Amino acid sequence: MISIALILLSSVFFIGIVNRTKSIASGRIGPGLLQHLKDIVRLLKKGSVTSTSSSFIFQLAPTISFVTVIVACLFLPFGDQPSILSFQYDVVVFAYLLALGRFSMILMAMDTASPFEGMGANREALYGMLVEPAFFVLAGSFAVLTGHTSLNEIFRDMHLGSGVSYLMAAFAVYVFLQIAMVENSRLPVDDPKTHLELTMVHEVIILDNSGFDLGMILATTSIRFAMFGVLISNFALPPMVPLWGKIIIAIVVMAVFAVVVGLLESFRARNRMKRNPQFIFTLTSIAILVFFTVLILTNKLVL
Amino acid sequence: MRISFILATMISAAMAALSIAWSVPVLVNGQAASFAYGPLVFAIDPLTAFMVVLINIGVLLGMVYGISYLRPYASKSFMEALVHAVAMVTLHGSMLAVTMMRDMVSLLIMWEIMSMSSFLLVLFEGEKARTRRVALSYFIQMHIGAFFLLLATMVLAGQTGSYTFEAMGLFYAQKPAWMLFLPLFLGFGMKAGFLPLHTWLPHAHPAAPSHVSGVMSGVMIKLGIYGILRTILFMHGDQSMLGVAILSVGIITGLYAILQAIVRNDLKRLLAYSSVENIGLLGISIGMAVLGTSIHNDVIATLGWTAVLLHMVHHMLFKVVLFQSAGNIYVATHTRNLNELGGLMRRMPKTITVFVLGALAICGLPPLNGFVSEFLMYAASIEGMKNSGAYFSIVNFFVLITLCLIGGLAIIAFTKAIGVGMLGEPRTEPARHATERSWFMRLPQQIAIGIMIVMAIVPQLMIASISAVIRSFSPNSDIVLASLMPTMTSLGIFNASLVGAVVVVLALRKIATRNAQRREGPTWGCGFTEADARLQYTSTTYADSTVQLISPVVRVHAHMHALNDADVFPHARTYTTDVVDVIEESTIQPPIAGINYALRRLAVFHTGSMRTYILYAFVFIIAIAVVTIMGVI
Amino acid sequence: MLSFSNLDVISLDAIPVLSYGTFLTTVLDHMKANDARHCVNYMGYRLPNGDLECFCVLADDSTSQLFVARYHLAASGTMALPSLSAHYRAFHIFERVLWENHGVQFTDHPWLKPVRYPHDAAHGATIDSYPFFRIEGGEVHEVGVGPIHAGVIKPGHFRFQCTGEDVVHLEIKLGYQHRGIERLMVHPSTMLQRTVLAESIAGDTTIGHTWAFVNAMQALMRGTVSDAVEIERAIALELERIAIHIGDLSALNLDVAYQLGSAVLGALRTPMINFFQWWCGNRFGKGLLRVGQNRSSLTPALQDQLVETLDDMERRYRPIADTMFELPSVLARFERTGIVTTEQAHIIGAVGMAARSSGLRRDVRRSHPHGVYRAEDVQTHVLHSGDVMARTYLRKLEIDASITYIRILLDRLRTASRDNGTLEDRPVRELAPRSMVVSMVEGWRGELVHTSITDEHGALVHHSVKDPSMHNWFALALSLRGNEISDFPICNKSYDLSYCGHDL
Repeated sequence: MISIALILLSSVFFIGIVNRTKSIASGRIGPGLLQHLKDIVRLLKKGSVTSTSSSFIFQLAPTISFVTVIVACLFLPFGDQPSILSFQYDVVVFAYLLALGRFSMILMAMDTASPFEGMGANREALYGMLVEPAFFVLAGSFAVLTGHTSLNEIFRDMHLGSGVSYLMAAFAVYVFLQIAMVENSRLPVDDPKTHLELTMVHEVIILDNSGFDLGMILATTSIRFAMFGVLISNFALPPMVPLWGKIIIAIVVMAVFAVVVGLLESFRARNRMKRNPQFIFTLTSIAILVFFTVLILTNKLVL
Repeated sequence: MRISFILATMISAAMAALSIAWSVPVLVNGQAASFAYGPLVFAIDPLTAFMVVLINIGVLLGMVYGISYLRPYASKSFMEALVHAVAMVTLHGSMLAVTMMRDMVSLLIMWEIMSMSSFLLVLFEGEKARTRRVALSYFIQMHIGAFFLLLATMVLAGQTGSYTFEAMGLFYAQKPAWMLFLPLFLGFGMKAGFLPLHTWLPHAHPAAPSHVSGVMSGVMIKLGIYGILRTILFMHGDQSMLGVAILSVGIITGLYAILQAIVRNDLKRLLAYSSVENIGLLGISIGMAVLGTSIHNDVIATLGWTAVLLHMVHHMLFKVVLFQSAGNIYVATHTRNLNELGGLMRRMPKTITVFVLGALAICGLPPLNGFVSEFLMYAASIEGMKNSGAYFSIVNFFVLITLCLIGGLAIIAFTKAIGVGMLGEPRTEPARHATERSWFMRLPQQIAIGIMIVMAIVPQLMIASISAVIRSFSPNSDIVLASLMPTMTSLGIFNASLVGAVVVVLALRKIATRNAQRREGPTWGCGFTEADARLQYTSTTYADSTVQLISPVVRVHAHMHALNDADVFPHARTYTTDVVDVIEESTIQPPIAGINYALRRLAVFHTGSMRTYILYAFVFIIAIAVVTIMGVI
Repeated sequence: MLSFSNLDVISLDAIPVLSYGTFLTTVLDHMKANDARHCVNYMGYRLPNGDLECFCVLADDSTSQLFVARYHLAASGTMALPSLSAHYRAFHIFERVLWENHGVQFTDHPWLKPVRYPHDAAHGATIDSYPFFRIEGGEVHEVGVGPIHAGVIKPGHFRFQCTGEDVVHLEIKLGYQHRGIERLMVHPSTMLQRTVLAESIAGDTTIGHTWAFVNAMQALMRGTVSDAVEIERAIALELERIAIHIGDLSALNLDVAYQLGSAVLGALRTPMINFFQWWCGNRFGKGLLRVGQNRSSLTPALQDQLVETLDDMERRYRPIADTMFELPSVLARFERTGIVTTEQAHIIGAVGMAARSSGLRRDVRRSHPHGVYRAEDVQTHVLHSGDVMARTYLRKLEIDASITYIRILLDRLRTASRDNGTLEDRPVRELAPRSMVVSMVEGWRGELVHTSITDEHGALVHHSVKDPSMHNWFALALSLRGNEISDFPICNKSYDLSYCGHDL
């Protein structure tokens, strides 16, 4: 309950903070924190144009994508506060929900008969395939560490004790951060700012969407970003702190997360498209490192 | 001419009714039953009963579809039609019989009938030279498989003096398991399509008419899995090495096949490779289950076996759906080449919607049944990582990575098939003029989708109904299943409510946009006024970025006269590609080339003159006589 | 062929009229003589009797010579001719214009396609029926970008033939703007109107084109301007070069999503163009150059301000330029991207900085110097790798060189004479009759060539404009071959070619 509230709350400010950070880093004032929300509201009210080449998939996909992210959020706990939905092995459900959203967006893109959307769809499919192992390896590692298989129980019983486990958590947070960057098409994999059809991943998929659907897609993106924010902040919640303390910690962590994203995007260039697969695969390698650390921590692997 | 096929369908329906009536009680109470007809003993135990249900559903769906699919083939002679119909019934009967045999010899006989009848079915369009070549290659490869089974029978009989399955139990108790299991696995695995024995499959399935390819891919290859399951039933003790071996073959099969599927431009060949990929998934699950049994971890074993059995049914259903929809597309456009299709969603929406649902299921995505079995596979591998020592953790860690890679790659393969072949604008005239097929032609797919939806919403009931089968593999499964049931119930509710949530949001969207203006217009083409269907990704180019990542495993040869530096104003060019199945090229082609060479050499003796043949007979008799006199024999 | 040099006024009667056959062999012989020769202009116009008169001007960079030959095609005679492009590809664009405007049929032209779609084009092609190069087989997909683009840029259509992310071939189709600059030039109008028109040929090359135009007119008037005016013009040209180069560096950073570089360099372009505002009242230098004079002179106060602006700019520019060319993530995008080999650059007749970044030394300031450039103290850089990195780094080198050169010019300006021009106070400014002049200026993109021809009454009958983009668009097309399609924006920006300079 708390996590979904936090996600919705932070999704309002998240993109705003990122953009504001980038503006300040380049010496400008930048748009207000709520600009993204205002854009979405404006789009939701607008009329729309649909392509004559497209079918009902084009109409349906944004809704499916939106629902998958919302439902995925329902599986996220907040520290020891349970999530709304939970059952055994729901880590699998979490990942596959995101995959379903991706599947529908890819088909939506291909439905428009445009080479740009095809390009985006193609990239999205490839990067989605490459990023998933990293997530599953992490999920599996934490299942091994805690002995549980649902997100609820994993985060309830994940107590970081020793120095090694902090190191492991740091790696995991890094991987989750980068997964969030890939899933949400940020630097260095994608650049949401250029607005050039040929170079983008996510933005080019939605080139033909307009009005309500486009607003919904933008909302989906910010909620998904915030969802990863809550997921990451879960690593930083100490069990002994009262609930209000945890909420404050989570908000601080997410704000820091947004600022970090903004700073990362200010001081480097994006990757060459062909280098992206390598980059994404490195995440899996780091996740594998986490996995072996867990094996050592749980005394399965004795060195 | 369709009369014979309709009759055949009725016979099959009767056969199905009988066998199901006989099987259901076995499934329900877990008690085996049998009856003898002369020396032939037909026995039904839970595993057989399970297979009987699977076979009957798959074959009947195929035959109902066949009735309308065969309509354009009215020019076939009565004889050809009759052979086809008889072969279909024979295939049905022999598949049922294979599952009911309890000794190796009768199994081999039924197996052979099955292979022969399916060979005749593949040969349906035998007027095409390519079909004849494919059918012949299928025939030969099936007999290589049969040879391994024969070898296994000889090993079994030689060591235990009995052909019965019970003797397998004896054998496994006394001898190293691999001595028997290896030839059996090669024989059954040939049918199932495990690497590197899959090479017949991507050729035979596209060559066969679509109702047959659905049955072959959905049902017949499962008989190979059945054979492997049957022999595993008799194993006991620590077979973890065997488990790891099956699992590794499964991993390699799954990954390799789905990569091949991604680069194929022929829709049915893509589906055929996806079948091989699913056989890989089944192999992985079998491997995990065997591992679990060996280390006495009932959770892993039960999850593994449940995944295997459920996925067999699931795959049968969606593969029938996909092959039949591909058949509808073929009838409407007369092409299977994705690069010549496109824009079908607007022209035959009902067929394509069904295809999309089938694809959603085969990618293992919620909320359809494919997700349920993949969920179980993930669950088994996570349990495997969690509950055992480092070795098993690492093995299952590879399984986990494989599962999500296969999942992601399947999404690439099927978004390609749908996105290029069915969405967007038509690329050629035939695709432009495609029309929707009749309701009867779509009916079997819709029935299958209906079953799939039920299986996705109440997976716990499905598992409960096969609990007897699971128990026969893993005796302690009941306890595990009891604790698994709440999860499966939740999963079913989750699947249903996911659909519900989409419907609710759609309704909200409708209300929110009721006053908003909606217009239709051309896709954004940057203001260029001349639209062109060439401005869309093709099947080849959609796969290209994946191919570049995995090029040593999948080789795509591009043929184009290269543009050199000085070629500032190039002349018109053609770009085509062909894909090489590296394994086929390196394992099957060289021996075939060798055999061809040897046969051509031997043809010297084939003079066509009666006198030389008499001479050969004479020489042969003398040779026999000499050998006998010398006491060699 | 008649030999002359940049800004020489030659009498039309001195140019022999050749038959087309002789013309073809003569031009080919001259081209063959050495590698440093290239065609700077080849154009035709209708004589009053309907005949077509064509001139071909070649330049020899090694000797500073220009060569011209002409031929007549009778209105009634055959218009089917063997082409020069079949031998030297770089002629293709000129012959296509002749085909398009005057219906000359070139029998063996390798790429006879529309260029500008004027309203009275001799071919019947429309913009929708442009015959794109295609790769058949149904397995390659095409991507069409434009004429409306995601950024605020001019119209042009780019058609890619792709095998996935890789581009096999790019074809660029322009001709969306139909301004008719060349016609308006000869249309009865005043010299002021023509000058203003020349300022609008390409908005980012205002100084360059205007200078080339006024030079041509001054030459035809047989007059000169004072040394100070010449120096001021050179300063303006170099300022324009710095401003555009910095702006393009910023845009290149934006396209690789390096925000810091983009923001800082973008801000640095502003003081440069703002200086023009102080100097002449227009940020792009419009209204500065006029025939025979500069409307505002660079006063000592302005000179001080320029020094100050340059110092300040340099102080802020050095660190970011160093950072940018040391940042691995930026270099990874630039290096080995969009390579055009020296051979290719030579074949298509690339000019200016596109040629210089591919190993061809082509700079009018050194090879065909006029006015202040005769002192030969301007520095020219040549890079050889031909990739985006070369074109980007060349911009940095040229910015440095221009800053140095402006400082030299400012020194010379202090002692330069302001009253040794012969045009300032000449009331009647008639053009020499039956003459021709070729005026070449090295704008920031490359050689700008204005060719003027007058009739027996001293009226302008033809004024031909050649922007470097005419050649260099092909360099962009070639640089995409075998590259990723997502590298198109940085390749495009590394040239930053002119749509309107091409479309006229």
